Formats: sequence, C-alpha cells, structure tokens
Amino acid sequence: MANNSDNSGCLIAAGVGAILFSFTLFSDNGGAGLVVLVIAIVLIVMGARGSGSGESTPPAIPSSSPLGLQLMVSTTADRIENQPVKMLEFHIKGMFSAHHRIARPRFEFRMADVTDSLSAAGDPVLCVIDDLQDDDSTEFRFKQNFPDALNAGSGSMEWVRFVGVPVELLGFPQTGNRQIKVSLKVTDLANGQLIAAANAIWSTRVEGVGYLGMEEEESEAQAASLQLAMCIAAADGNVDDDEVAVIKNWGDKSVKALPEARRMSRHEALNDALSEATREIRASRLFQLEADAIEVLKNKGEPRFLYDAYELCLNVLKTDGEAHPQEMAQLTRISRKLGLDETKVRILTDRHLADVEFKPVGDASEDDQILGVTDDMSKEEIRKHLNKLNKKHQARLQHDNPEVRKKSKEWIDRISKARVRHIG
Amino acid sequence: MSNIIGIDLGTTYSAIAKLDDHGHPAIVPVDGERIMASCVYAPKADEGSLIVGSLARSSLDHEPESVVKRFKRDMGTDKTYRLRPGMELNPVTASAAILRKLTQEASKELGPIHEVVITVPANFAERQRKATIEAGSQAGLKVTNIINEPTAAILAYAAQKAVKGTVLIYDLGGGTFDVTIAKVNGSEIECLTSEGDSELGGMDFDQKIAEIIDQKYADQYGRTLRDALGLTSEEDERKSTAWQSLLRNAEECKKTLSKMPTAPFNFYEGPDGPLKTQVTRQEFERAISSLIAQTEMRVETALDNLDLSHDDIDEVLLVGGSSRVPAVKESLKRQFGKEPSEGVNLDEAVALGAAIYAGLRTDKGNLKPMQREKLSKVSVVDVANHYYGTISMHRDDELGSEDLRVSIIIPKNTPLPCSRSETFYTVTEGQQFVHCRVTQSGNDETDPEFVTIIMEDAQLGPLPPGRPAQQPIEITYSYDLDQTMHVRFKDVSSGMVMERTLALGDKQSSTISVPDFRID
Repeated sequence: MANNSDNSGCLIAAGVGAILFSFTLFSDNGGAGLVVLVIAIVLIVMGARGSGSGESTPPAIPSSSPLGLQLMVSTTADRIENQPVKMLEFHIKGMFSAHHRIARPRFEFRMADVTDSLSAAGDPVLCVIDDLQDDDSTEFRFKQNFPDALNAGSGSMEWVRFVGVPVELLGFPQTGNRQIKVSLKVTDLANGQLIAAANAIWSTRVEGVGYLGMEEEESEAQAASLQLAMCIAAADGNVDDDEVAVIKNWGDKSVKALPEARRMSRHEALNDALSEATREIRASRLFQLEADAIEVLKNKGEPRFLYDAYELCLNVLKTDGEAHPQEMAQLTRISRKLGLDETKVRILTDRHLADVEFKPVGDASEDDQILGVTDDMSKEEIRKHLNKLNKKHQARLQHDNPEVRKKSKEWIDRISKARVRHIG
Repeated sequence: MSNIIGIDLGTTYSAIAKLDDHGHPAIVPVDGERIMASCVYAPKADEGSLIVGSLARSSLDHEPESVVKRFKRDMGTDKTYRLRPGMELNPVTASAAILRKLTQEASKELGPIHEVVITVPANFAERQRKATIEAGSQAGLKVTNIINEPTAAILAYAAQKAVKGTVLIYDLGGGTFDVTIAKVNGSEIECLTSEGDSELGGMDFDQKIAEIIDQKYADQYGRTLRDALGLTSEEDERKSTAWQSLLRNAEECKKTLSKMPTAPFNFYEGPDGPLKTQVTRQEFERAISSLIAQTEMRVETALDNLDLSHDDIDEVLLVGGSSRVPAVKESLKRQFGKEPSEGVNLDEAVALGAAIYAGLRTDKGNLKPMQREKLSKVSVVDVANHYYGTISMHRDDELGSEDLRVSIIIPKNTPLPCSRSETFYTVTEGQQFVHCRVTQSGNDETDPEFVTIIMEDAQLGPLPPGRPAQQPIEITYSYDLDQTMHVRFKDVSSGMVMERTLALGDKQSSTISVPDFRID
C-alpha cells in the first residue's frame, strides 16, 4: 500500500483533520451564555458572547498558551422546516489574549477548495444565499459583528458551535472528494487589527458538478453515466420508481450545482440522454446502450467521470436493498470495461453494498455472477480469484461487528461451493 | 518448584499436559480419560452444581437444555447460555469451568497448579485471545502465555521426531481449522505464516451428516425432522433431546465412515416413526466437499503468503481429530502429491506442545536440571498473526481525492519480536493535534470500516503552533514476544512523543459477570 513512500504524500488524519472524523475526541456541548441569532431561515448562528466578561470566569490559562484559537468543522444531519438538511457546522474554542480587550469584535469565515495544493489560496466556495456572500461576488463569506466588546482573557475551553450552513447551498469548484480549507479571522473593527486566525480542513465529497468543471466534457460524461445507470436499473427486467428516483435525483443535483445561467443546457442534455436510454431499453438494445455509454465515458479519459458513473450504478443497484445476480454480473462487466482499478472498485462496492442483501443464493450460475466468475476465466484464474475473495472474507470473519461476521460467513460458503464446482 | 502445565482448550475436547522431570511432555488423564469433552452441565435436580466433561456430554441425551458445548466458537462475543433459572454461563465462564476441572483433576496427581499456557487457534482475533486469558483468570490460574495451536503441535512433533525442512501443519480440530507453515531444524522452529478458519471443524462435518439424515427422514415421512420437531432456530436445536441425539449419532457415524465405506444410521426419536437407514462415504464426502474446498483455499493462501508452491513443502503434518476423515487425507494427497504424516497423536499433540512451551516461558529457576537441559535446545520464533496499522489520510492523484485509509505498519507474518517505523505528515497548517490510532486486521484491508481499532483514544499534542503543514510524524510499533506492543507517535521536529504499551491478548479488567458455582 502506498503511504509516505508516495510522493503525493500520505497525510495523517489528525489534529484538526481528525476532528472531522472523530467527534468523540472533543466535547461539543455548545458552551454557556450563547446568544442565538437567526439570520435567515436556513442559517442559524450561535455567537459566543464574551463568556469571560465578569459573570462567568473562563479556566485560567496563560495568554501565551499554545492553545490559541481553534476552529473545527463538522457536518450533521439537521431538519429545517421539517426538511432534512446536511449542515456544515463551524465550532471554535480557545482563549483570547489576557492583556487586550477587543472593542468591536468581528468573526469572519471563508472557504476555499485547496485539494490540489494545500498551501495555495485555492478556489473559493460559492454560496447561493445573499447574506452569506462576499460584497462583490458570490463567494461564501460569513461575517459576524458583535455589539459587545470581548474582555481580555475571554474565550472557551469547550468547543462552541458558532454557525451552521446547509451544505446544499454551497457551490464547490470541483466534484469528488475535496479538501475545503475553512478559515476564520477575528478582527477588532475599532482599529482594524487582526486579533486571531484559525484554519481547519473539511474533507468532503462534492456531488454533482463543480463550477470549474469542464462543461462540455462533463455534460457528455454525465449523460453517459445516466444511461449506464439506466442499464443497471433495467438489468432485472424492470426499471422501478425507486430506481428512477435515484437516477433523477442524481441528474437534478448535477444541474442544480451549476450557476443558474448554465443550468438549462445541461438539463436538456441529460434529459435527451434519458429519453434515448428509455427508447433503447424498450427496443431491447440494452447491451448496445451499455457499450455506447462505456465508450463515451472511456473516451473522456477523466477517471473521476468513470468512478462517478460507477458510483451512480451502485446507488441504483442498492435502491431496493437487494443485489440481484444479473445486476452484480453487469456491475462487474461495467467496472472491467471501464478499466477501473480493482481496489478502488472494491472499496466503493463494499461501502455501497454493505447493507444490501445478495440474492438469490444457491443457483450455481447466479452465484458465479455474484462472485465475479466469468466464462472467459481459466481454471487457474478462477482459483486465484476465489482465493483472493476468500482471504478477504476470512479476515472479516474476525471482525468485532457480528453483522460483518455473518455476511462474511455467507460469502465464504458461496465461495467454497464455487471452488467445488470449478476446481473440484 | 511449580508444575509446568499446558492446556489445549478445544471446541469439542480439551486436554491437559505436564512437562515431566526429564523435560518430556505427558498427558495428565482426567476422570480416567486422556481427553475431556468440552461440555458443561448444570443439572436441574442439583442446584449449584456444575458438571464438566464426559458426564456433561452424556447428559445431552436427557437434559440438553442444561448443557452447553462448542462455546469456543462464541469466544469474544457477548453470547450467553441459560442452563437453568439462575444459572447463566457465557463463553468465558463456561471455558473457565473447563479449565478449573482440568487443573483440579490434574492437581490431585501433581499438586497445586498456579500457572498455565493455554492454546488458541492461530487466527483467533484479539477479542478471542483476551477472552481465553480471562477464562484462565476466572479459573484462578495465571496464564503465563497463550500459544497458537499449530505452533504447539509442531513443538510436540519436533520433540518426538527428527524433523528438518519446511513443514505444513494442517490442524483440523472439532471446531477450528488452522494451517501453519514453519521451518523446522531439529528443535528449532520458525513459524512463517498461519491461515485459518475459526468456524470450520469436525462439528461442521457432524452437522452435514445430520442434514443428510434430515433429508432421508423427509424422504420417508414427507417432512423434515426439523419440521417434525418444530425446530426453527439454533437455540431450538440446542434444547431438543432428539436433535442432540441425532448429532451424537452423526459424530459416531462420521467415525465409522473414517474406517468403513458405509455406516448404519438408526434413529428412533423422530415423531413420525423410526428411521433405519445408512450413510455412505460417498454421500458424506459430497456433503462436506465445500468444507474441504475451504481448507484447500486456506492452504493455498498460506503458500501464497510465502510465495511457495505445494512442492516446496517437505512434510505435511496432520493434527486434530478431524484430520482422520479420509476425504481430508485424500485432499492433501491430491494437493501435495504425497501422504501426510501422522507423526503425533492427533488429539494430544497440541496439549503436549503447550506443556513444552510452558517450560520455555517459565522462569528458568522453576526448571529442574534435566528439564532445563532438554529445553535449552528448543527455540520457537512466532510471527505476527495480524496486520497492525494506523488510519491516515490518503491522497489519490489520479482521482484527485482524499480519504481515510488504513496504513499497515507491521504486516502479518513479521517474525517476532519486531519493530517497524513509518513516517507520516500533518495535514494542516498550524495543526496542533495528531489523532493516534492503532488498527488490527486479518487482511491488508485499507477500508477503516473493516478493521478493528485497538487504540483510538490517544492524541499527540498540543504541538508547537504556527508551523506549516507536512510536519513529519514518525510512528513506531514494537511487537514483543510476550504479546505486548509498544507504540510511539513522535513529532520529529519538536521531539514530542505519545507512547503507549498495548497488551495484545492480555488480561483486561473484566465486565463479565461470574455466577457462583462449584465443580463436583
């Protein structure tokens, strides 16, 4: 496995980064004496009022403490007006200088995608809410001025939730797994002085299309992805409402992610692709449709298109909570034809199909399809393939989670039977 | 000088062995038998008593709901067995009862027993090893070490026979299967790799015979025996007198089929009438073919781990009662092109080897001169049986993505003791904390979801503020022979360090409740 020997650098998930994934490390009880301000329906701001201002004393730590101001970001599932909303939460903690009073504190947050270069300023994250935009652009900028001064030595040793923003309302420059640098500056408006600053990295998977994306290429790739997803949906002989919903949702989101002006053309392109797919499927040209879509995707030469397409297929496949043999066979074929990396496919597939029931068990040819054993494999290839699968599931048989163990047991049984059939 | 004792805590049978004054291992019989059934019985008629061994096993015929067996498979889980009102056992307390019985009986002959070595399947995970040690302490024993069953077997083998070369130990017991490859030169043993399946053994063969009979019953009476008895769950089967009787007959049938081409099978406890039939070896072998295939795959994986082929194995050594099954031997002969050797007593080798290992691990002052002399020639090098790593952020340039992955630091099969370091880097500018996690897995799994995290509450920091990202963090794991692992996370530029010693498979404070009981 590549780690630090890889020039790109394997970065340890730690400190601020680790906080994103392990909340248990830090308490997040909101702190005391918070004033709740509602700026917009979808935006909730919780401001830390000078918690050290006389009535509540913060824990004594020296002003030279290395703790300083810290910023943490996390995402939570929230509900606003009864609609589920994924919120990006900003939490802060730390102590301000014990020597200086901040007369007119201003907290200012901004976000930029720094995935490709951690040190560069990166590409800004946009926001659709006016109140959360920079003065002269649509860039995300959240500024909070406080009417009260912050006394010297103010602060909190606990994480204080400062503000939450619905992720859906943010516009990201690119799709896929991104590193978003969130920065906070605290200034004193009385003298314009910068008091403190903190950064955090938010690792997120951006769905849909990033605004910097290669417009035309992306449009075609998305059209082909939708067609491929339709093939998966149709594999069991019936495209049902839930499958349609997944495909539609993916398309909708892709369109929505674009700036208003560019949505119409993408909308049309995707709908054309869907109409074509429907026509082809009804005319029993499923195989040709699949082959064409794969061809289009491969020609783009952009791995993220391929994996996005594969992931969409997985999403469609798992819609009904079952993985049918035909679907699994098709999935294997698609991943091979797309030339996807086996490990990445395995990781994606495992993640998506963890809760899926594999059906039916018992029929030999269907089991082979589930196991990815194909007619063109030699006996030796089958042997190696099954051993590899078996090793993986044997390891999982020792997992702490009984559900993982139970699933592995079923896999091992299926693999053993396939071995008897093919190797004897 | 205290007794030097090794115990094979088996799924279906257990055994206890001592190291005699001359340094030879010897079985200590319990209740007049060299191996003892791993069954625990809490009779309804006599509250407070707990019967262990063959008497417990034979009570399956009339009071199966009060008997627990095969609990080794549940080691490390929170499963409980309710034997009678007020008497609930779990895998640890049931194992403790076995250990107590073995040591109590042996101490009648040998005097007090304080320290023991207990064997575990090579691929037992941490939680299962910990549960085994916990069972020892609950039985009032100090478990000085645990040793992998195949390693124990090869120790016993090497003590009896001049062995030289690459040996594959094929250990198919009542409930678990292990395959270990070792380099042996006289009494010097170097384990190279182990693979196994902690849910594959002779009891699964019995189960297959029971299924054959179930089908034959259905052919005769139009419904399966399970349906006729109204059995819908494993728990129902455990409590059914008829089903338990069927399983015992199945075990006998299996033994007969190891010697004869057919075995009669008469079953009188079916609700619809008696079943007088027979099982042929062919039927049996067809039924167990997928289990045999599984063992073959484990053998191939062990060979693959070392880049060896079947031809590189000088000797295949059989261990475990279930390796008597002819289909097993035939499978090995087919794979290796030669007969496997039965150089040791299949049922006793593991306990004997454990006694030798107990001698190796005990304080030297505890040994008599001849024991010391004998053991001075013996050496064992074991390997890490799992992958140990940490969780870090991984960048994929091709995809332009970053996600959390497991990075292996000590790979499986690394000879012990060992120490390995890897350097990682901080993610963010001004990063002051590093989350230190240690993972364990049976495969070189990269997805954090499928590994066990054995340390997750540690942090390195606060590190000096204001530094750019990409600060090197050196992570060192040192795995010692006594099953402890020292981990160190070091911020290279500031020298700040987070260190911990993890007890792998060592005693932990127990949260398992212990019922009051005595052994009769």
